[in-house]
Amino acid sequence: MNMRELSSFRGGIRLDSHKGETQNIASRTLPIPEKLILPLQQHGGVAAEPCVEIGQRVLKNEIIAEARNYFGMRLHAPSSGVISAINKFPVIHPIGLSTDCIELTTDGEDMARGLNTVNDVTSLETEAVYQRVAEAGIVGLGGAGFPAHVKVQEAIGQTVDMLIINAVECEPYITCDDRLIQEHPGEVLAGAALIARVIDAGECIVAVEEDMPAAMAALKGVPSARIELVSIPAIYPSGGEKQLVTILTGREVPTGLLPIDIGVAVLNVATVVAIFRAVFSGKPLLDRLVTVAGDFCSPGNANTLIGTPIKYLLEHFGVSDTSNHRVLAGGPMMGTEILNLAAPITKTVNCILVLHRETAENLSNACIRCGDCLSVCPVGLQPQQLFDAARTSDVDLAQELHLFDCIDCGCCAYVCPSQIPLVHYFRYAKSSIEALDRDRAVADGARARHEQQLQRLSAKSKIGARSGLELADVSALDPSELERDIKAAVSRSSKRRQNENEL
Amino acid sequence: MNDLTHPVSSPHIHDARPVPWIMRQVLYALIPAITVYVYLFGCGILVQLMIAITTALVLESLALLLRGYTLKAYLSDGSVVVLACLLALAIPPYAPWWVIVVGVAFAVLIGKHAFGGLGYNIFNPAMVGYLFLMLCYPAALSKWPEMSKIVDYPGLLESVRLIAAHSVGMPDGVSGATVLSHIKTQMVLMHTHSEIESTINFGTFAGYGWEWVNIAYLCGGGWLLWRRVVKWRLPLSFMVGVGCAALLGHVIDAELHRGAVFHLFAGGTMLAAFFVVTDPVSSSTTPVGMLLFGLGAGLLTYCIREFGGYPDGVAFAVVIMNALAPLIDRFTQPRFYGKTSNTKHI
Repeated sequence: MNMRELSSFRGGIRLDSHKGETQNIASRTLPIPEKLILPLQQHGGVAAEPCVEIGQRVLKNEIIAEARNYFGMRLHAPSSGVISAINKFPVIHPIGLSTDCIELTTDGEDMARGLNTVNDVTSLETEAVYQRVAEAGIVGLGGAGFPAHVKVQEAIGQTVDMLIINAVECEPYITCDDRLIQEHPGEVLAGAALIARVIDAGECIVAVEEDMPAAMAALKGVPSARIELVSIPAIYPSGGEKQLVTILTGREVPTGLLPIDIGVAVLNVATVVAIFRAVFSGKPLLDRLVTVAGDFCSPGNANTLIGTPIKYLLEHFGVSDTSNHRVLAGGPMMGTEILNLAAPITKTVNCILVLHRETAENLSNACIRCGDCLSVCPVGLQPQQLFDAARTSDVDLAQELHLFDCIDCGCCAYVCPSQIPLVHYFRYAKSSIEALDRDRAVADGARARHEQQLQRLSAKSKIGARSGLELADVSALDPSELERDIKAAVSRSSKRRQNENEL
Repeated sequence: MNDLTHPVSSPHIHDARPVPWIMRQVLYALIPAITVYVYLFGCGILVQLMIAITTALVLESLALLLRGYTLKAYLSDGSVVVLACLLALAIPPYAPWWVIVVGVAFAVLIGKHAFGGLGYNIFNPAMVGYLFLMLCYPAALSKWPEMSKIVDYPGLLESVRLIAAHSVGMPDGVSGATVLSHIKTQMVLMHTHSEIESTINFGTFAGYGWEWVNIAYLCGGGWLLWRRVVKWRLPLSFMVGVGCAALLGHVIDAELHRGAVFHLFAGGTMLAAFFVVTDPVSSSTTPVGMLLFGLGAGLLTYCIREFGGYPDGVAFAVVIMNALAPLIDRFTQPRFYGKTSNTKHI
């Protein structure tokens, strides 16, 4: 069916997809919840700076927090209402920490501030497109949450041979991209064409997984000239950015580099639609499609406002008692367990998964070095050797074994006969090495400052030596002269300190 | 509240073949060989297996308790039962009871637990136990029942009586050397193979009886391959190692060195190929490393058989390669995704 010859990456697993449970059910739109919790940090960059006060009325689309820098991300009010708190709230976090959030109590009227639409996106200048993307607060909606305007800007600055629109939802259960394509194929292709034009991409591919036939059919139903549609074998993790680049181009992204460095730009399909809406109608990122699936009777997809409490979302799908379940944000392979269901949906949450809480088998957790993990690792790492390095905190060995090329996909732990939580070990090792590097950088800075100070001191003593005043010769000076010099020095320094304080 | 001692990290679904399942498959794969043993030698092997498994479980429990582990999780992995069975199959079926007890004790306590238990033992524990017996009690290990001379197969009770009797081996007249050790002694006496062949029952191609034992191991091994419990690299490269070396020796001088088929089906070749070199814990894990490990073990097995002082070289060969496995793994790291040519190789 494909015109293009596909390559494959090594390793990977065919997983039970569970997509049929939700992929043919129309997505619903949730009523506006009473309270929206908007975390100031919803992506990998710097937390946003609130620009509203408690008690202030805001309209839908209004900016409520501003980006602090280029990698920051602004935040808009998803509905109209009153800012009721700016405080720490529980969020989706591996160990259940709280972070700074803005709480918006909605009024149910959903009054919106007018948007700045354009009539013809095809004539819009590159700079204007970039501006509109940056203003809309769009991050990568596939999960990593990289700021979309940064990605677009990087692509503008480089020669791009290929633009890949990633609709390969390789994690089981998740169908939000599938539904998005089925329901808005025109916007997907228009967005792809727009971005391809702006970044001047040589070719543009929309890649979907082979178990998304309806989405493929929907895309084929829309006439589009320069965009190629490709169906990818359903082998997890084919939707991983680097894996997808390899499947489509036969090339590997060199370690430590990004796809853009070899002339390939990859954008998630939901991000593309958000970009199109931002450019076309000025619509900021206020909502997203979220799959709600797992072990309950009525799963589906819902168009959900950012900030909607997960408990509220689940109740609309008839899930109220989760005492025997584990609730995850994201898919079963890479998702995070949600420890507090009051936590809100953020821009990067594509799925809320409710799984039966299984009792762990009583295993010894000893690695028997069977090698199943290395045969499934899509990066070609040696998880069993990395495990030893991580377990014994051998940071050098871990880095020699390319720990930082690990993509956390979870294939190794999925097949481990001893059910060793390998990803847990690797994440822990990564974060402890990063912390070590930070500490080292701080220590290096301190050492450099200390050495500079020593240099200054030795330079001073050399000057003293040249003028005939060695430090050791102090006793040879006239005591009254010495006292005068000291007083003068003390007054100089106190004056300087005073000046500094005034500044 | 979540139990933080049990990490809640992704992935949240698993589809693995648990360690106890893997060990069970290995035990099933030994059934053909055990059957052939009973057919050839009588019920002695069954008694040896009982003693070996009981000793192993008792000592494993003791070691685990001393090391402060919970018995349930660790005993149930089945690895110690596999160890006991392999060792029982490696010694003569009517060796006195204390031989297997001492062997299993050394294998479990020193070979396995002194190094840190399952997953950390750098040497194959069954081979460690076997070597200990071979070095300390060579006489007990050399008295194999001479199959062609057995008229009355010892039944279960008779086997128990023989093994409990505290004597070394079976009554004279029915106990003797294996084909490999017979060849070894005859070669030392400067006899050629055509002369030796007339002095012992050579069976069809690799010694009467022993060829059937090896075929039984091969069948079990084939089943393990089919169940994907063992991967092809280790057994195949081991057989290639033994076979190629034997072929080369045979081509150079057929009167001094027997051919590839003989060496592949003699002694413990097939036992080693599918049940010993395939022990994942103590062998190489990288794809290229597995091939090197198997080839090395095969070559060493042949060299020790032909040029060393022992009739069979499997145990020494495997233990030597075990010692080299970490080094092999280190120098055979496979290519990883995105590796650039100028990346420093470890």
